Amino acid sequence: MKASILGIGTVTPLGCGIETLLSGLEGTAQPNIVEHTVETAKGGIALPVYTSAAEGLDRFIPRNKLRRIDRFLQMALLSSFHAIEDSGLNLEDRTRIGIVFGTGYGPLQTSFDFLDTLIDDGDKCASPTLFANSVHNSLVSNVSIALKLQGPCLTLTSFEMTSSSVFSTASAWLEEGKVDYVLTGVGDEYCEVRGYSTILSGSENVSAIKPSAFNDCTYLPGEGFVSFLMGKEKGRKAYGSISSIETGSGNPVKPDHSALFLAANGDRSTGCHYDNLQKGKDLTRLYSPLYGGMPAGQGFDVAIAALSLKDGRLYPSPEVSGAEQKQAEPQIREILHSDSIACLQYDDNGNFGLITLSGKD
Amino acid sequence: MQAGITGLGCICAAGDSLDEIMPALYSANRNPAPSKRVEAGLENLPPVFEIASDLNHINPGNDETRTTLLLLSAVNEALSQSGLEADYLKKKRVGVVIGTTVGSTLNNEPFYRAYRAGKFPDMQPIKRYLTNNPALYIANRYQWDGPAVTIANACSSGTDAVGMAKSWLRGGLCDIVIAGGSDELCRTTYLGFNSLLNTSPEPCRPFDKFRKGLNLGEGAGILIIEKERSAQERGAKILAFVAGYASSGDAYHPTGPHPEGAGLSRAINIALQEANARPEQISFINAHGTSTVDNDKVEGKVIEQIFSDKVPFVSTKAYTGHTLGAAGGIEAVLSVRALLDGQIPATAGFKDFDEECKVAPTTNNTPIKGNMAMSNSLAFGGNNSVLILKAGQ
Repeated sequence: MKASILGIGTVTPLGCGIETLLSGLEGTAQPNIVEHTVETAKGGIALPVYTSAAEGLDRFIPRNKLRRIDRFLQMALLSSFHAIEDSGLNLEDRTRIGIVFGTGYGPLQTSFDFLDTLIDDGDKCASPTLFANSVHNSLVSNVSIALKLQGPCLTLTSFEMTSSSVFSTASAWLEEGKVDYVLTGVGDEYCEVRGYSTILSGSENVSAIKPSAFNDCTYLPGEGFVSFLMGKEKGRKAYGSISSIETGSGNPVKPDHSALFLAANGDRSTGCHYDNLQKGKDLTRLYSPLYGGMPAGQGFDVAIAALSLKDGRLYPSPEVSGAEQKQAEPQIREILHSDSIACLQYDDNGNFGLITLSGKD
Repeated sequence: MQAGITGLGCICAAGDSLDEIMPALYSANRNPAPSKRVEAGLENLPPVFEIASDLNHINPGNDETRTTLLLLSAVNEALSQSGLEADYLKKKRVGVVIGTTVGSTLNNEPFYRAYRAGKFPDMQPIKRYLTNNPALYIANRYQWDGPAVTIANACSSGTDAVGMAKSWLRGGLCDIVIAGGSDELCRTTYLGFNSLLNTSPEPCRPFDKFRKGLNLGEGAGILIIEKERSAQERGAKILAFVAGYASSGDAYHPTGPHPEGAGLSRAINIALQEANARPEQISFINAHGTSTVDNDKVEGKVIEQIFSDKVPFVSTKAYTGHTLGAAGGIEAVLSVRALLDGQIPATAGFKDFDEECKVAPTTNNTPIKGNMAMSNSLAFGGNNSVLILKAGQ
């Protein structure tokens, strides 16, 4: 059994909705990169940040409720609404729809906002609302309430291994018949502390992610959320299927591999593992300059792979980002001669998650 | 394929190992008290179930989080009981799935206070966070090559971890799984639960009419789960099987349960179906039983609806406190041991029947009939997870 991708929703620095992701792939749109100043012992240091915003969520949730929803949850909600809308399905028995989300860092800003209430107002004044929204599964909780999904609910967090875990779990639920559909999603958010740790980890003076410079530190933080509605229906699938998920350590890439998307993002500690691959250069792509650096980045590559299979096209890697790529130029798309695309992400210990999508049943 | 449990490990306020913990439970021995480690500027400090030790003996000279040290303790105990040795494990595909709450969160308060104060703290606390993701830590430490997943599903995380282990074995993803949960007490959760007004100023009283809330706890509970045939081939004793698991959402409220327990009912019925069991075949229930007004009312109501008053149930949180992401792992471990012991402990603190709960937990050590136990976990956010454990042959 293959788990089919029936609908996709994205909130990325390119905008909201898969059309914006497609525009980024085609080179007609650029990611929203906002320059932050990070205060360090050396003084203020500029840090370009791939910034996302859940614009248009008021189409699904009344404006007066939006102000009580933090940014990260807004991204998860909007991408989820879009994924279901994109599927075109009328989902009836919501006790048979599960939800599994993954995040590398969780709702970071809300976690620190909660600590702010302790620091500013004292231990007696800890905010119950911020506490409830600071736990990792607050996204799943609130999205399940908003969409009335009453199947199994799960939140996974394993840094760079998060996306492969999420897709593996969703596929298993479908395979075991626990659900008819699964809303699957991954994402991360930016906050000031993440900016500070990015600078101290070596991203000082980085102006652009250069993902194929595997041994250089060119990491810039990104944020966003991508959701997928997955199911077993053969006839309906628009975007292909998850045909296999492998995890382990070492090099999983076979010499005759299909198109390969690497989630390398300028992080030197993971980059060295990609550098050891025997890559077929013509079919290898790196898209992190579209969405920025984050542990859950592989999920965005899965969305790009699904779009590529749908269109039968292979989009070029955006070579650089940020100030070096201000001029938008339409990119030449190649015909995708393969029926499958593999998405690979490493962690700094050399563990990998390899998600392969297929256009065939 | 049956998922056989061949090793158990546990550490909590009731003891550092199962051989210490079970006698404490059977003698109704508990001692929740204000924390000696977690400072809080509150007038009345809610008692907690805290482990007295600093745990430094578990992995001396290293820089692990307390959650990781608790986890290591339980993993070592469980591996020892299973008889699995390092050389054997190297030849097998070993997966790790661990539930946690604190262990997945970057909420290092001293670091953040220093950062906010413009003191430019160094990265060590961040590095510690990045290298102490519970499942990844264990997989990397032992160089196991199977899937490694940390579940952050609030209070059902440990139960969900055991359920995922069963799924991995059934799907052929690995041969052996280290599954359970681990969580430490910390200021964030202590003050957070206090802000939600659901911590008790006194020792918790699960299902009691005059219960006033939960006591937080800390600990870890780990199960070694492997394919029945593999365990038999190496001559291991199968203590129990993971016979059923289900999870279902309320989609109702971010912090409170559905008033009729809709999600819990569904999860119990699906888990029973997966275990091919009828309600009357369940020997006992290890309830979620947090001792909060809402949880116990809803859970009691559902237990009464499905099991009438014929199945004895206990809340072992009366002895461990609510250990959040670890709770499901700890309670699965204690349930298996109780199955093997042929009895369940009294629910310490319970005295007065609450008509709204509909049912009463054990008040004495209670002999059990049959060979199946059920363990419930209800999470923040409305997820309900249920395990059914069946004693080994």
